This record gives sequence, structure tokens and C-alpha cells, in this order.
Amino acid sequence: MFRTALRNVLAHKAKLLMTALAVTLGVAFVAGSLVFSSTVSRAYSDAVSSDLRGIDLAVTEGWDDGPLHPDQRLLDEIAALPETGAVFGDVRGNAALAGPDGERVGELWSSTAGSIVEGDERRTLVEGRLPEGEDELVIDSRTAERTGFTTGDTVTWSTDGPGRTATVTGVFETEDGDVAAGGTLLLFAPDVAQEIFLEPGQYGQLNVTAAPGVSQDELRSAVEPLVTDSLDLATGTELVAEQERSIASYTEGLRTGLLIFAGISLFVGIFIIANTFTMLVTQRIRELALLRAVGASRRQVTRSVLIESFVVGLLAGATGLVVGIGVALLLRATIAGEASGLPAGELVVGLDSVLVSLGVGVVVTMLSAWLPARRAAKIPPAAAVGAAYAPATRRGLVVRTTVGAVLTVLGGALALVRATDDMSSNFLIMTFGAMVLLTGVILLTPVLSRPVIAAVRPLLRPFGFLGDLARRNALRDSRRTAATASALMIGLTLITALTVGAAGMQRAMAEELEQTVSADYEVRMFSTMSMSSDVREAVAAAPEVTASTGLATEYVEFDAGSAGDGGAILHGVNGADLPELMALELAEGESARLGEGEILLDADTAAERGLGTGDTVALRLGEAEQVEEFTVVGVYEDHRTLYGMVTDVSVLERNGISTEDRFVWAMTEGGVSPATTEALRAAVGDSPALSVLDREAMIAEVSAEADTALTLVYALLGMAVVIAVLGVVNTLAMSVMERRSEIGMLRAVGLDRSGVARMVRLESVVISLFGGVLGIGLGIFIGWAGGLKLAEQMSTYQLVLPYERLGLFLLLAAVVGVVAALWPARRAARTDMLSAIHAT
Amino acid sequence: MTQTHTAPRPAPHAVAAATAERLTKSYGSGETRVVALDQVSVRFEAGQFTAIMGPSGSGKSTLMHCLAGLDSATDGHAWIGDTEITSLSDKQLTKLRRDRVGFVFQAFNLLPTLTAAENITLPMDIAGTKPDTGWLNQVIETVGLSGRLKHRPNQLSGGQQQRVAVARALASRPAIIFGDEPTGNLDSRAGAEVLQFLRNSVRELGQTVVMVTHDPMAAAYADRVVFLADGRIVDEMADPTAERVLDHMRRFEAVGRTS
Ligand SMILES: Nc1ncnc2c1ncn2[C@@H]1O[C@H](COP(=O)(O)OP(=O)(O)O)[C@@H](O)[C@H]1O
Ligand SMILES: [Mg+2]
Repeated sequence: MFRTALRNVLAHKAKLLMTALAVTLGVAFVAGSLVFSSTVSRAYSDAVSSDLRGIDLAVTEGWDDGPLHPDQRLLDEIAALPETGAVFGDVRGNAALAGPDGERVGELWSSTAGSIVEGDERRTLVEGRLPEGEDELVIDSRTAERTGFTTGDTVTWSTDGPGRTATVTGVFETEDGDVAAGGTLLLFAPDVAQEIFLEPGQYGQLNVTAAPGVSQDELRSAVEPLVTDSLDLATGTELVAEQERSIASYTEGLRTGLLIFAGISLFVGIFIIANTFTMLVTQRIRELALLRAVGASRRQVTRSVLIESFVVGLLAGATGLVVGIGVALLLRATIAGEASGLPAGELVVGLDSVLVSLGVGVVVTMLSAWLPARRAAKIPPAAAVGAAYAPATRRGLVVRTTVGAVLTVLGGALALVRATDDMSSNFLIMTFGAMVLLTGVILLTPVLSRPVIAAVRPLLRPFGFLGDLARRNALRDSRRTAATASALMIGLTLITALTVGAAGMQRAMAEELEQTVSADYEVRMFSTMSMSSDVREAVAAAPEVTASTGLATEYVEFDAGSAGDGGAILHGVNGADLPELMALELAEGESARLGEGEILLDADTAAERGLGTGDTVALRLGEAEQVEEFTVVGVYEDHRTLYGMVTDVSVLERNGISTEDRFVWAMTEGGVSPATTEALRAAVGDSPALSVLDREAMIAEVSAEADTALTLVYALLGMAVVIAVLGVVNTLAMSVMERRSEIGMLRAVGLDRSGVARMVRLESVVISLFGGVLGIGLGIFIGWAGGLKLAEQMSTYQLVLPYERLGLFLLLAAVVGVVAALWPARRAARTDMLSAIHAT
Repeated sequence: MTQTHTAPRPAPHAVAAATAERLTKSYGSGETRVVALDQVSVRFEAGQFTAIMGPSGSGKSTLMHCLAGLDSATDGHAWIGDTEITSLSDKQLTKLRRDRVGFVFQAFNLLPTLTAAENITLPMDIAGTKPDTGWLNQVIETVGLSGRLKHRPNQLSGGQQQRVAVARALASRPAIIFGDEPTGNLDSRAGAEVLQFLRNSVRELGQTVVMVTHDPMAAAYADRVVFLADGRIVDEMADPTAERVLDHMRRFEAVGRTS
């Protein structure tokens, strides 16, 4: 049997080519994901462990009612221990560097800074000297290379405040993980770094090396008594293990994300494989029946088809693995490194990646061939002697359609139902419903092919009779057309659903911003990071600024008895300017302008605690738990950025609460202009960590993140579309082969070669458009259903249909059709008329 | 499919529906060279029903293909009416077949996706021309398919399918209709129907038909039989009957064996 199967694979290698290619691409995606993520993981581990090399023990910061840091005294005590070889104090924090163009170098999250002392093995000075005063620093060699900065240059840098300038006194080499990932590392003298990130005399971490002959555990036992319980101790081995754990969880996420998309591609591939084997079985009815007639059992027939699929799966899986390794190499070359923040390192092809890839290839192929194999077994031996035998039964289609209809209705209902009050479980239910719906529609595609293809008929009218022939050919084998179109539909459904969801989301966010922020300018840091109070002061002091506020956020407790127990969020703003900058919709009260001792409440807090305008609220503030009383002057409705009580920031300041702002907003003389933007930038010292956004940029910013994510998703789903294209090629090639005689006859009665090619091309476009229309339609529905869930959370959410994009997708489907037909159409046009006519 | 570097030549004498002059077709070269047609010269007069007969491999199909513009000759000339087809390009040949030649094959004559009526008008639909309704009705009437026009091929018997094919070949009122064993796949009654109809189209509609067959009964429907052997025309017979054709074939076989 195995030999027969092998011979069959060889005999049908042209027919199996597309199938094998589909499996290959799917497996390549899987293999690429696995290899790439283990490569990244290894590169991270290497970077981290070499950075941790030489550390035998680390004393790290802890928490005891507030952050607790190791200090100079502890450092000196540890240094005095006989078990200690050397001890270095480390200070670490985020700081951005401006490149020669004034823009930040690298991503904010990997823009780091710290301290450097003589003798630290992890940072070797290769140029210049160590920094000394507060306006001196050294930069890592990769950053130096990237920016062109060298010793003696003056650079602008900043933490979370206005920009500052410093002189580069040297360049060091490091294997620091953030630097390996494309970040920057600025190092200052220890006292300067302490000033910037901590308090004088404090360290973020003490790195201790053991004296010769002292083990890590012995060192630990020696140091432990000196250290208060609240600080953390970890040996070098533990540090490495912990880092590897966090790297693993990060790359795990990367891998899972990639594998989800690889899974979608493989799922799409299933349709192609199943289609191919169905066609092969149909073409071989006589042959298989003959096997049965000469005594092969049903099981043997099934097995022969399955073995064939096993061979195909194994070959394609192996090819896919090789291609996948190539893809990983390519990814490493293009993505990893400076731009994306993924470190580059040696390619890691683990045995697990190899086995998983091969296994996936074989299992997916054999699973897809299972039904066709079963059908092969049902061929009666009588079919060998030419008795008519129709393999696809109508009853089968009725069952399929019934199940499909049930699943479609069920899935649609699940996607729309509002089962719980919990947003995220509602989303889960919706996603599940969408999957059920998709499955249902896939089952329904054969019966949908007639009405949907009838609907695209007007598009074919310009092609006259050939268009008509193409349409009828597409409808000829509804299962085959359905499977082909389904493959394309899946990718387009996901792409459309995400596009529709994102478009509505972006509009809603922009709308919300439009409605709730009236400021001309916003100053902010990357995503959720907060800025030092210097920023709001610098903005307020700028001569162009007529009104401004920061937005500090603190959790405060109510004084017992005044408004119940517990606490709530308190925002600190510039109370005098608030109405100019924020559009607050007041449910109670006259104005959002806040004077001394006045407070605004958010609707939730007001309702929860039964408070209203004129009531008094007593809060315990700061470390001293000083009680202050406030008069409620208003209650505001749900707002995009404010979500707690609001009072003047001076209240927080005078109680010793350090205030950091997530945003600073400003109104300016004469409104937005390039000159004003420049002036505001200058006001914050051209800080590379801060963004100064005018209204338009604020709105663009809202869309930008969603756009980036969407682009990435398009790229990842692109593979599913590519595989679907292979499916169309496959179906067409098979159809052309089967209809050889017919094509020969058409040529004989006067259809020229280009006419034949056009007919095949049009059929391809019809099938693709069928998949496209279904996918886009279904995608819109799912996007809409998801939007309904969002609308419960965002009052500004509305369904937005980005017609241009959707039109583009439909066009894409048509292009897929044309591209997929290139080769089959040429083949069809070249059909040898005479042999085609005489082939019986 | 194009060659013959000489300029088109006018048809040698009074115009026939199809003419071959020293038509030669060979396959392969050197040792394996097979001469399927060896300098065949023959005329098919308009308004005649001609049968081409001969043993298997004698070149009947090849002659028909070369005359009908389905295949190109190696040497010699062929005309449809006064158009020399041995000098036409593939595109021109396609157009010629569409507009001036009708075909009936042994099998695969109809498109399964089209109804009988649509199959009949296929060449005109390809050309984008309107069929002559009067003629079309007459054709359909003669073939006796009026009640079956909306049926698809798989709902028709073999004989009915072949009658649809004949109607299609007639529908565009071609200069000549070629049939390559059109009754080869039919039982004798259905075959007789089709042959009767081919003859009617010649007698009543004034068409020209050339049919390849190896069945003496079929040849008896024709006005004239041309005998081929080893790629050459060896004999012909006017107003054939089945007995005379059979007799003729027996004699030839005997000669062939002794030669
Ligand atoms: N494509 C071809 N290649 C090689 N030889 C061919 C080809 N077609 C036909 N022949 C040869 O040409 C001769 C005539 O064939 P054909 O015209 O089909 O004969 P008939 O129709 O009389 O049976 C035969 O010897 C056949 O083997
Ligand atoms: Mg023949």
C-alpha cells in the first residue's frame, strides 16, 4: 500500500503541487514563528546573562509603605565584609536622548540611564573619561555609532521633565539588554544619577562580587544580617533565572501571537488540501474501484489515500521547515535590532521547532484528507466497470446546509447577545459567536454560491458571453467553488472585522477627544508615563500660554464619617483655568472653575456616596494624613480622561504629595501655529522624552496606535490570503485539466486563445469575488457586533464603514482572482485542440 | 499553427466548398517520421454530402483536421471556399472556424453548463453576433428538438445530444460542416436519426457536409464516398449503398494484405 501511495504522489505531483505549497507556507509560518521567537529569546538571555556576569549577589529595592532603597551606609558595610570582593551601587531609570535631529533616539521604554564607577566590568570605557558633574555623561557605543555623537559633543537629554544639556565625556561598551534591544543607555556619576532618579546616597541596586573562594550562598549569608527585611536579596544565579523567566514570558507572548496567525493560515490551507484530495479521489474513481474489485478492503483504500496525504504532509512539512528557517533569518535581518527593540543573535533551531513543524504538516494534511479518503472507500467496486457513480450526494449537502444554518443563526445570536454585565466576558462570548458564525457560513457556502454569484452578475455583463460561461463554470461544482472561496473568505472576514472595528474606535476616540478637551496643545509622554511637575510649570511660564493645567492623579482616603469609608481618585489640576481647557459636562453645578476649598465630583463617586452640590467632603491627605474639607461645587458626567474627584493641585502640593502629570494642556495666544508649537517645545527645553501635540496631532495620535496595530495584523493575515490565492490557482488548474475536451471543443467552434484565457480568468475572478463578498459582508457584521459591545463603554462609538478600504478589499479579491488565474489561464489557452477533442 | 511562406493562392478552378491540393502532413522526423497525409488532392463540392472512409490510421481525421483549420499541414494547400487556409494565422483560423465551418465530433460536443438552445447558438455567442431567427427555427424544426431546447445535455439522450451538436454546426449557416465519426458513440437507431438529419440538411437546407466514418451503413447516407489508405486517396464512389461500400472495403483489405 505504501508503495502504491508513493507512486500515486509521484504520478500526481503536478496536481499536488499547490496543496504541498499551501502546507509548506502554513508550516513555514509556524516554523518561522517558533524559530524566530526562540532566537529572540536566546538573544535576550545571552544579553542579560552577560550583563549579569560577575554579579554574585544583588541587594535590590524593596517596599515598606513606600519605596525603600539600599543606601551608601549599607554599601560601605558590605564593602567592609571579608567575604566581599567588590561592591558597586547601581542607579537606574528612564531617560531619553535627543539625536542630532532633535528627535528621540530609540523607543522611550528602552531609553535608560544609570550610574558608572571605575572598575565596573559590565561597562568598559572605550573612549574618553568617566563623567563627573551634573552636566557630564557617557553614552554606549551603539548609540554613539547611531547618532554620530563623540566625546566632547553637547547633547540634549531628559527624564520625565524638561530637556537638559550635557557634555559627552566618553563612550562605553556594554551588553546591557535594553541596549541590545535597540535602546540607549546614558551613564552619569553616581551622585548625579542619585540626584536624578533617587535621593542623594541612595541606590537602586547593590551589585556584590564575592571574595576569592567564597560561594554565592556564603556571601548571601554574610550580607543578609546587614540588610533590613524589606530589601530584596538575590544571588547571581537567582537573578539570571528570574531574568530568563521574564524573558520567557515575553517571548512566549510573541510566539503565541505569531502562532495564532500561523494557525489561521493553516486553517485556510485545510480547505485547499481537502479540495485537492476530493478532486484526486474523483478523478481516480475507476482506479480505486478497481483496487476494490480485485479485493482491497475499504480500510485499505482509505489507508492508501491517507498514506498519500502523509507523504505529501511530510514532504511539505520538511520544505516548510526549511522555508520557515529562511523566514526567521529574514525576520531577524529586517525586524530585530535597532528599529523594533528585539535583539539579534544566533539563529536557534530547536528540536522542538523541527518536530512541531513536521508534525503540524503531517497532521493538518492527513486531517484534511480524511473525508476524501472516507469517500474513496465508499466507491463501489462496480464503478470500475464504468457504472455511473456520483460521489457527492445531495443528502450530504442537505445535512451540511442544515448544520450550517443552525450554526450561522446560533453564532450570529451569540455575537449579538448581551449575556453579562462584564465587558470582557461579553467580548469573549462575541468572539466565540463570531467563530461559530464563520464555521456556519463556511458550511453554507455551497448553497450561498448561487445567490451570491448571481449578485455579482452585473459586474460580468461587460464581458458578455464569456462572463456568462465563466459564471456558470464557477457554479458547476458548488462544493469545490465553496471551499476555494471559503479559504479567501476567512482572511477577508478577519481583516474586514478588524478594520471596521478599528475605524469605529478611532472615530469614537477622536470624537471623544474633540468633545472633552478644548485645549490648543497637549504635552505628554509615551503612553501611560507621567511627567514631573516641572513640565506644567515650564508650560505655564511660557509667554504664549494663556491658560494651562496638568493632570495629576492620586488615591486619597475619605475622613471617617464625612462620606463613608474607603477612598477615591483625586485629580489635581489648575482649578482657575480648568473650564478653558477641558469640556466637562456638568450634571450639577454652574462652572468647573475651582477656587480654594472647592471640589468637583465625578458622577460615579457622587452617586455612590450620595453627595451633591453644596455638600462637604473631608479627605485625609499626604503622609501626615492631614484632614482638609472641601465644598462640592459640581458633579460632572463621564469623561474621557478625568475619572475622579477634581481639585486644585496646590492642595496636593501643600500636603507633600509629589504630583506627576499624565497630560499638560494649554491654551495659547492666537491658537495653534507652527511658531507657537516651536515656542512650547523650547519652553520644555526641547525634551526628547516629551511630545508637544497640537489639536490635530492629538487626534492623529489617537489613530496612530490603532493604525500601527492594524498594519501589523494586515501583514500577518496576508499569509492567509496568499494561501487562499494558491487555493484558487489549484482549483482552476484542476478544473482546466478536467475540462480539457470542452476547451478543445470551444476552440474548434471558434473561441480564440485569448478568449479561453479570459474565460478562465473571469471564472477565477467570480470565485474570488464570491469569497470576497462573503468575507467582507461577514467581517462587517462581526465588526458591527463588536462595536455594539464597545458602544456600551464609549458613548461616542458609532459604526463607521470605511468604504474606501472595503472597496479596496473587494478590489483585492478581484486582483486575487486575476493573479491566481495567470498560470491556469495560460495553460488553458495552450490546450492542444486536437488531443483534447479526441480524449475520451 | 501558421506556416507556408508563399502568398495566398487563388483556388485552382471553379470554387468548391473545400479543396485540398497536394496536402501533406507528417509527424516526427527521420526514422520515426510518419506520413499521415501524402500529397492528397481532393475537392468537396458545395451542396454535397461526402463520407471519408478508410482503415484505422489511414489519415481520415488528419485530412479533416487540416481541411477544417484545426491542424496545419506540413506541405500543400487547402481552401475553404476561396480562402486559402494554409496561409492563415491562428487567430484568422479561429475566426474562419467560427464563421464558416461547422463541427460535429464523436464526443464532447456540448457544454454541460449550457441548455440545448444555448449550445446551438454557441458559435454566434462567441462571435457576439445575432443568429438568424428564421434559419434557426428551421434548423431546430428539422432536428426535431423543439421540445427539448431548455434541457441541459445531461438530460438528453446521446442521440439527442448529437442532434443538438448538428444543429449547432448548422446554426451559423457555415460554408461546410465537418463530422469526425459523429455516430461513433451512438447506438444504430440514434445514429440513423443523426445521419438522416445530416442528409436532410444537405438535401433540404442546401448545406455541405463532410463526414469521417468507418461504418458502411453510415457512408450509405452520403452522396459520395472517398476512400483513403496510407494517407492517400485510393478510390471514390458516387451514390454509395452499404453493400457496395462493404464490398469495396473487403476488396481493399484483400489487396492491402497481398501487397
Ligand atoms: N499527433 C500525432 N503524432 C504522431 N502521429 C500521429 C499523430 N496524429 C496522427 N498520427 C498518425 O498519423 C496517421 C493518421 O492518423 P489519423 O488521421 O488519426 O487516422 P484515422 O483517423 O484514419 O484513424 C496514423 O498513423 C497516426 O498514428
Ligand atoms: Mg480518426
